[in-house]
Amino acid sequence: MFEFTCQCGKVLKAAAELAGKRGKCPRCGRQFVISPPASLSAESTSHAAVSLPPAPAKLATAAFASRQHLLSQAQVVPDAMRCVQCGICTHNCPMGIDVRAHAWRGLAIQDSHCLTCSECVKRCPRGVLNFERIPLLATN
Amino acid sequence: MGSQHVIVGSGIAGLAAAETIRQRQPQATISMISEERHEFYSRPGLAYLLRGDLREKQLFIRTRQDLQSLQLQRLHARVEQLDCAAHELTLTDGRRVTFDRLLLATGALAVAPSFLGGDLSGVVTLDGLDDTRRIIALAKRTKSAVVIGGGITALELVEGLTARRVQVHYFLRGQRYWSDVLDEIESDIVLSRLRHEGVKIHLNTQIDRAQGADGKLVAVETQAGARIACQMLAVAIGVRPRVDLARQAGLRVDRGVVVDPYLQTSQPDVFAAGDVAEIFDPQQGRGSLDVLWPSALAQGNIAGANMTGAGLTYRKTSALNVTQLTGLRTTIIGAVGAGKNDDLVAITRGESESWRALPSTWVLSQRDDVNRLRLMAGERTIVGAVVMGDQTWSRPLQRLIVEKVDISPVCAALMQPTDGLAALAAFYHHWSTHAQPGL
Repeated sequence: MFEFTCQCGKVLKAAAELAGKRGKCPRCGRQFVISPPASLSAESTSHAAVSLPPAPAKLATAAFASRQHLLSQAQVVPDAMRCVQCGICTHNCPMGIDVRAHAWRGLAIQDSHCLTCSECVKRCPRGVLNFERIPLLATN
Repeated sequence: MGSQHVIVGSGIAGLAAAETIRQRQPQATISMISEERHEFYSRPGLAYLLRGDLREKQLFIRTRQDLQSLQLQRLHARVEQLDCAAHELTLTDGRRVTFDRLLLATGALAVAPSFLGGDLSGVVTLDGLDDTRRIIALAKRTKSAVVIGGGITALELVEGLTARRVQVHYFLRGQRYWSDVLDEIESDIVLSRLRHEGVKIHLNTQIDRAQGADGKLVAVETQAGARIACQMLAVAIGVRPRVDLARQAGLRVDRGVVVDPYLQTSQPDVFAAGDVAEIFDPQQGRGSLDVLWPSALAQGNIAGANMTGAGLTYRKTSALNVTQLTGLRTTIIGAVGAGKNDDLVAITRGESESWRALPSTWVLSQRDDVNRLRLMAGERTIVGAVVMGDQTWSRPLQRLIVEKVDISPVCAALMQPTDGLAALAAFYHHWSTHAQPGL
């Protein structure tokens, strides 16, 4: 028995003796030749079963680091005009910061506990919150 | 001894006024009379509570410490009578309350159904937290529900009930959803997404009567004679300002309590703010209603300040609302009117009358499957916009419209259907970096 991954991302299992036979992905319907991951590269055609591409670990880390770098220079800034104080932001903050109270006063989140994880920014149903670059001479 | 300020209503306008008064007059006595017994909560958040995105305790917007420092005397009662000359209120329980300055922030209430069977148990409207609790409890015992109405509240009910696994039948009188604000394409996007969620849309359908057994709703009958079994009928055909008290007291009342730009009613010392206030515009010679939370907040602040003698005027800006229509974030700014809405008998919650104005302008629109952008542009300015789905343009347009920015340099380019937006983007970039130093 070995595992391989279809192009659609579905992880499939097949008995070793089925290697070389034709198969069909139950999720996306793509047809392929069942092949164990090791022998894949040689006969990898458009219908071949494709194992998970080697995780681009370095790339992902680099992208993550650059995002972290950007976010470390940014802060969450509310637009009070759009806010209706529903509390979804505060409810979803993993650090327990009262984002809603900041939005009420129109204050940027300068709490040192803020991870800039963007949970509040993404979940706000009214687009109140935004990441903005931290000004060098912060006034609020 | 400080002044006696009395506020009727515990919505956001009332709270904002109370906080402003407290800030300006630490010694003043502030009383708030309301029928609702809850602490202050976010009314627009009720939609998210109904859908299950939030827990109820999350809706309360003030901490115990906030409330303590506000030093508010809360009275839970209904006001029976207002005597402006004697500066006195009479409550239904017989108590009398005198005031130096009074604020009416009584809000608006959902229009009650007028068809036969509208009083059956199972027929609901959505105004406050108690209604939301009732609907959530009823939804547990409901297999199928009918929703009528053509505005934001109706859609919130449709989505909330669908999220609670109720089969929803949504009745629309015509072919379109929210037809006085959204155009045909925008309405189609909303309706097709609703269908995808499993909602049964009944176009060109009007309710004739609700049928009940033992006082409980069992079905609705349409005017075409169809019968749909249901255990809940949610009615969201608009809201009406609660003006009874003001009318009985002899204040000037039109659709709302008419106020001047200082938010003062026709009587000195009596102010009105929020959904109940109809702000008279001397230039147009008529008043207009806004049933928007941020407007109520701004008005509450101004009214509170003026009750302490500040003499501030309320300036109406281009009305803005950001709402979720079938999960699609939608920003509506300024005048975007698109026709008449037969599904509403009155203005709906979350709406401004100013949106309904159909400007004599040209329209630039762009769309793909779910994203749509519609601009209403006048000779020199953009006067309104609907941004649906992708919100990239939401904030730039908000600024261009609210600040009435002169866009005449790119007007001609905007007329080009293909690169109109690119021209506007370049203009906005230039304007925001040059006209606004420091941003």
